[in-house]
Amino acid sequence: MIVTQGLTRHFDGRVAVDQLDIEVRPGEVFGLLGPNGAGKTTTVRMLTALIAPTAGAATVAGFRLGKEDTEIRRRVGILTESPGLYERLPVQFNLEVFARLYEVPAGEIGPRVERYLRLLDLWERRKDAAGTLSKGMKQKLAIARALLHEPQVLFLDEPTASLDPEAAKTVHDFIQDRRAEGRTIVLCTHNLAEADRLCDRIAVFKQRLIRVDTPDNLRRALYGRAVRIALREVQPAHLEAVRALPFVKDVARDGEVLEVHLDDPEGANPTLVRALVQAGADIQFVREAEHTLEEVYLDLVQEEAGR
Amino acid sequence: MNWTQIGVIIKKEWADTFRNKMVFFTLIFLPLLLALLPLVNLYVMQALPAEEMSGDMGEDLGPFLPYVEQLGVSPTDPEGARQVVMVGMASIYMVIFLMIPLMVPMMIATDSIVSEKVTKSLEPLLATPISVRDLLLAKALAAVVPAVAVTWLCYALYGAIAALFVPPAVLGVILGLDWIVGILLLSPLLALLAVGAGIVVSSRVNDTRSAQQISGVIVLPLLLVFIPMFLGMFTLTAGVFLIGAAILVVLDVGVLYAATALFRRETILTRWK
Repeated sequence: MIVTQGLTRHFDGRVAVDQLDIEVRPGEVFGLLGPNGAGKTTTVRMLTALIAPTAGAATVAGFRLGKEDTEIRRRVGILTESPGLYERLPVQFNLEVFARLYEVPAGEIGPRVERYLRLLDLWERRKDAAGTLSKGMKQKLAIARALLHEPQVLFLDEPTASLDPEAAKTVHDFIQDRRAEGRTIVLCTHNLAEADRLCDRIAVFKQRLIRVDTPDNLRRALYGRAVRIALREVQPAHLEAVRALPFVKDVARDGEVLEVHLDDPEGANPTLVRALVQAGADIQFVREAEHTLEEVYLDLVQEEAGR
Repeated sequence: MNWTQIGVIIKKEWADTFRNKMVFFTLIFLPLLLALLPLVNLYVMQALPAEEMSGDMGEDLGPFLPYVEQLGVSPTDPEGARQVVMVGMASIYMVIFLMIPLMVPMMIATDSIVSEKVTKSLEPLLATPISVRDLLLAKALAAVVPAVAVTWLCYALYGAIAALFVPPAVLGVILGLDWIVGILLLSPLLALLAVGAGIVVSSRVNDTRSAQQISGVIVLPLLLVFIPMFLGMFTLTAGVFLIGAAILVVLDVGVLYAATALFRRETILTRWK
């Protein structure tokens, strides 16, 4: 759905995005993660044909960036960093203006506006000035605006920034529903739990691409797989028993918990547990060690900074 | 050119403008006030006894002397002196109808662009398929059309009310061919100039009032060209207005060229302050 090749953007000699090569597949939620100033907004602006790349090429929804920009704009929806509403105008009018600008057929504007306002619980407020809405409602209205023309690709820049948990959940559910409809979504966020929950794949980048993969594959690539086994009391004999097993790559002690690194927990766990029991260990629980996406992200960004 | 999209933007601009009390006041009440004040003044001049009004003036009609010859009256005759003063004042008041098309569109255009910058609504707007040329045209029309309409309406109202009480010589100035040509021709050109200046200035500031003040400083000096008229050095005729219109066309092209250069997706998103 989106393919970039060496996409680059300079601002007055400063590199904002450098040689970005990514491919976003149809129907996936693709996360763009990076620190402030990494070039996420610049990338989104290039891919929505708002600003031109300095070098490189890209296609969005099958259309070439820089050559078929109007066609691209017809097929993408964008939620910008701030909602950017016409605050003095009614909620419904805000959407009607954009429906017409996005060339929604006249007969469909009313039903479509109503549909999205109802979906996002804004129908009762349709006659109120947009400026009177709460922050969460404004964000939802901006999301509705980005979807009015049923775009093939939806770019969401920090969709839940500064929203309360309830409003954030509504937005998360809404994004998942759009994915279920088969829409391609590019999500820029600093909320790594949100990215972990919503994204099929993520690209970590800071001016240039650092890594792109599914969140689970990134974890595995960085940390491998491990199981955490809580014992009543860890004894040296327990550690020796575990280290003696051929499939164990490493063992670390964290209080009364052993973190055992191995490639195939599903196959190896029964043997591991038996060995510990035979060594006299009282096992309280066993679970797979999970690294948060935040750990993955921070390690990747620090590794990049160290280069 | 996509007139549907241009129409949508104009409708949006007007809906937004009429919800801003300050802009609404400037658009409706200020022009009306500016048109009514001269009427009050002319009415008072007409109502006062001629001797009382022109008593101190005698032959010292200063800048209005050219009208003595034009009207063929004696400056020592109180009634003649009154007519001369009224004609002179009526001529000066006509400049008001060249100020309205400068003030009103500047107020609308600066409010429109600065408020879009402040609320950050330009980026989603620019992400739509509308061309920036159509967007700029729509914003310019949304400011120019009401300005010209309100100028012409106020002028018509001024002429209609003045016709009820001013002497024919004064009415000849107000509804004379010279000023009809001047107002019909110059209003749209002045309004365009004000919009162009408003856009250029609005791209650099984030405060509506500052934008209006700076734009005012840029365009209002144009009215200085009328000072020689106040000093009796020349009178404005249709020919003078035609020359003025030609100069304004050149200025309009220059300012609108600058505005168009600034009004590009790339520039708006990366260069505007």
